[in-house]
Amino acid sequence: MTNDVTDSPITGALLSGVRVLDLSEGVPGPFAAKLLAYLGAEVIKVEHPGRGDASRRASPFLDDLPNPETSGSFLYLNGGKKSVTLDVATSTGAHVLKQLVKESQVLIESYQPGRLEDIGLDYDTLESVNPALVLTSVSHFGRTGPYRQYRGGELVDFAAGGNLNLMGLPEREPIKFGGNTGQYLGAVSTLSGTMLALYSADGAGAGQHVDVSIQESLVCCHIQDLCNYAYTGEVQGRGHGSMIYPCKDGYVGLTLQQHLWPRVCAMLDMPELEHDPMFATFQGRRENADLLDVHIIGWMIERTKEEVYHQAQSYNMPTGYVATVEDIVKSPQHAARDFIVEMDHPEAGTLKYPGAPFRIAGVEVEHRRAPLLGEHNAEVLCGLLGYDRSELVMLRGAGVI
Amino acid sequence: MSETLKGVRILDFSMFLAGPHATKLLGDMGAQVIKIEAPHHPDALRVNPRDIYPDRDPGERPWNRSGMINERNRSKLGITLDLAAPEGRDMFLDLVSVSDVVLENFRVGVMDRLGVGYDVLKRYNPTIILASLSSQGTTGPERGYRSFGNTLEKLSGLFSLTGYPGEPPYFNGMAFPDPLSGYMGVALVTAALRHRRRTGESMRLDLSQREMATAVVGEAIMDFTMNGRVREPMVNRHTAQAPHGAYPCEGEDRWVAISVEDDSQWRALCAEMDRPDLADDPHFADAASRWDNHDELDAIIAEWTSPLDNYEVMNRLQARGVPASVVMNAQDLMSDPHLESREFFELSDDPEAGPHRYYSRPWKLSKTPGATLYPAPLFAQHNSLIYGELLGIGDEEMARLEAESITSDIPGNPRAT
Repeated sequence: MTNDVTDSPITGALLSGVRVLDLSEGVPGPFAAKLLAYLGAEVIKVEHPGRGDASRRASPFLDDLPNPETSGSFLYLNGGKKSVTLDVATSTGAHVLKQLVKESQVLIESYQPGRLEDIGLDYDTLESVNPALVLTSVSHFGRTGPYRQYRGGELVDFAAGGNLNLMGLPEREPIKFGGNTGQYLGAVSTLSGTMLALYSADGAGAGQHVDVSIQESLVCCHIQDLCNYAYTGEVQGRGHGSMIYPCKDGYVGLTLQQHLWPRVCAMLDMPELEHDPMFATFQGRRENADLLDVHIIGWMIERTKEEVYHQAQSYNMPTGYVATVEDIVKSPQHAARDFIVEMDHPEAGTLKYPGAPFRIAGVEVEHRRAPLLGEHNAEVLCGLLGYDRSELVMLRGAGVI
Repeated sequence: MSETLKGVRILDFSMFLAGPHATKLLGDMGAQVIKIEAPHHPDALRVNPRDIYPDRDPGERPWNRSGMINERNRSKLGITLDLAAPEGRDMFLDLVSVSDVVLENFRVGVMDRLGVGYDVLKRYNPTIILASLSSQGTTGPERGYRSFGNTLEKLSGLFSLTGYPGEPPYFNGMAFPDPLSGYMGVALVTAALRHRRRTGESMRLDLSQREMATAVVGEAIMDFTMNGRVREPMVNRHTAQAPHGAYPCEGEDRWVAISVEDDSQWRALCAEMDRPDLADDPHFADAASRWDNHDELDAIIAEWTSPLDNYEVMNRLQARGVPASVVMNAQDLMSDPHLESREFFELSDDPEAGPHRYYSRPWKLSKTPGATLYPAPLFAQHNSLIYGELLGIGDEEMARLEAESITSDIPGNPRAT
C-alpha cells in the first residue's frame, strides 16, 4: 500500500496457520473460502473425484470450449486454494476427511441440509474428531424451518429474499441483478459468520456449527421497505423513475437530491435552473422530469461517461457511470490499486482477474491461481497425513480419490 | 460460552448503510459499539426521505423515531462529539486509548484533516485497529470520490448486466453494495481482532466498497478477459438453464420465481402443470432447446401460474424438487412461516419509536448466537454514561460541554436527504 503513513509490517498474514477445508461448490462457500485464502489461510478444496466442483462445468469457458480446467467461474472463485479429490460418501473417504478435520480449523460445506448427516459427517461427529473445529454450512434457506429442504438458486433466492419484488418497472415483471450477485452476497455473509466463530473458537477452545442462510443474508440487505412496513403498514413494490441518463458513449447516474441540486445546475452551467419554480424542489423535478431531461441530456450527450463522472465528482456529487466489464478492466483507479491482477495457469494461460477487495497495511495480499482437479493429492495426503504413494494408488483404484 | 466479542470496544463513526450494517452485527455479537455523531452532523438516516416514522408521525424528535436509523443501529450505544473542536478531538483520543477498533466511512482524508489519522491514533493506543470502509479505497486517483450504494452499483458493472434487454439500465435503489461491504467489514475487523490477540499488533484495514461490489461480477469480467465478450442484461434468464423467470400469479402484483436446473426438474414441472405432452415435446427436450424456445415456454408457464396463489405454486413445485419461490414483499417476509420458525425477526423496543420487529443476523452460530442486545441509541443518549464511566467527566463538566456544543442532545442541523 502506497501511503504517506509509515506502517510497520505485520507478523505474517492475518490467518497464517489457519487451515480451511472447502467442501462447498458453486459460489457462496467457494468465494468465502477464497477470501479466507486472501486473509492468509491455507485452503484445501476437497472435490468429488472425476466430477469436481460444479463451477468447473459453468460458463464462461476459455474460447467458449467447455473444459473443467478452464471455466472462468471456477478459476475466479478458487484462486489461492489447493485441490484434493475425495469421495467423502465412501467410508474410506469419510475416514480420510476426518483425518483432515483433525488438522484443520474450519470446514465449509454447501450440501443440501441433511446430506452431511446422511453420510455420517454431522457436526457432533466432526466435533468429536476436533472440538475446536468451526463447521460452516451454507444453504439457500438454512438448516432448520419448513423450507430447509427447498431448492434455491440465484433467481429463487432473490425472490425469497424479498429483493426481486423491489427491482424493475412497476408495470413489468420484477428483475434480478445480473450474474450471481445474491450468491456472492451469501458468500461474504458466510465469511463474516465463519470469522466470528473462528475468533470465538480461538478464545474458548471450542468450535461451533455456523448455519448460514442465503435467504436471510439477502433479507438483511433491505434498506427501507421492511422498516417502512413495520412502522407504517405500507407494502412497497417496484419504484418509478430512472435517474440514469444517456451520454456520448453510455450511461451516467445523477442524484437530484435537494442539497445536490445547486451543484447539478453549476455543473450544467445553467444557474438559472436552480431557482426555476419548475425545478427548485425535488417534487418539481419529478413532475417536470421530461423538461429537465432535455437540459440534462443535452449537456450529457456531448460528453463521455468518464468525463461526466470526473466532472460531477469535481462538484462533490456522488456520481457513477454505468461501467461495462471492459471499463472495469481498463479503470485507472483499479490499475492504481492493482485490483486487476494477471495470473498464469497451466491450462488457461495468462489471464486478468479481479483481485482482493481490501488491503491491510503492512501485509502483502497474495494472488495465486486456482488448482487443477486433484493437483495437491500427493502434497496433502502424503505430506500432511502421512500416506505412502502406494496407498494413493490404491485409493485412486478404489475411486476414493 | 459467552458472547463472541465480549470485551471488545468499537468507536463507530460510520453513517448511512455500509458501516452501520457492520457495527450492528458486531454489536449483536457482544462488542460494545459506541456510535459517535457530530452535534451538527448526525447520521443522515435520522431524517429519512420516505417519512418512515411510526404511523408516519415524526413527533417532536423525528431523529429518534426514524425507522431507517433504528433498523441498523441496534446493539449500539450513542454519543455526540464535535471532533473539529480541539477539546472534542482530545476527548475522542482519550476514548481511543481505551478502545480496540475505530471504524469509519468518512470520505478519504477527513480523518487526517481532523487530526485523528492512523498515526495519531496509534500514539494514543499502540494496538488500535483502524477500519476504513471507503468508497474507492484509501489510495488511487479516485480515492476522494464520493458514492452512495447506487453509485457503486453502476461503477461495479452490476448495472451493465441488469435490466430489460435493449433498454437503458434501470435505477432501482437497492444500494446492494452497502450491506455487502458491511459483511466484509465484519469479517475484516474480526480477523484483525484475532490477529491482534495473538500478536499485539495494530492494524489499518482499507476496504474499497467499489472493489467489493466489482468482485461480485467476477464471472462476467472473466468472460471479457478470456473471450473479449461484454455481457449485457438478460432479465431473469440464466446463461445455460431454462426455463428461468418470474411468472404472474393471482392477485395484484403477485409473482412466483421458477428456475429449472435440469431435465428431471423440467419433467417434474410438466407433471405439476399436468402437461405430459410438453415433457415429451422435442421442442423442450433439453436445456438448449428450452433456451431457444424460452418465450414460448414463458407464455405456457405464465398461463398456468396466473390463476394460482403464488404460495401454492411454490409449495407444489418445491414438493417435486423444482426450485421456486414466492416473489416476497415486506408483508410476506414478516409473516413467513419459515422465517418465523427460525425466529429471524427480532423485537426491539425503541424508547421513542416503540416496539417493532427487525431482521436479525444472516447466520446462526450454535454456541454464541448473538442477539439484539439493546435498541438503537437516541441521539446523544449515552453521553453521560460513556463520558462519565470511560473519561470520568462529571455532570457539571457535561453541562459545559453541551453549552459549548462540543456535545449536544439535539442535532444542530440535520441535513435533508
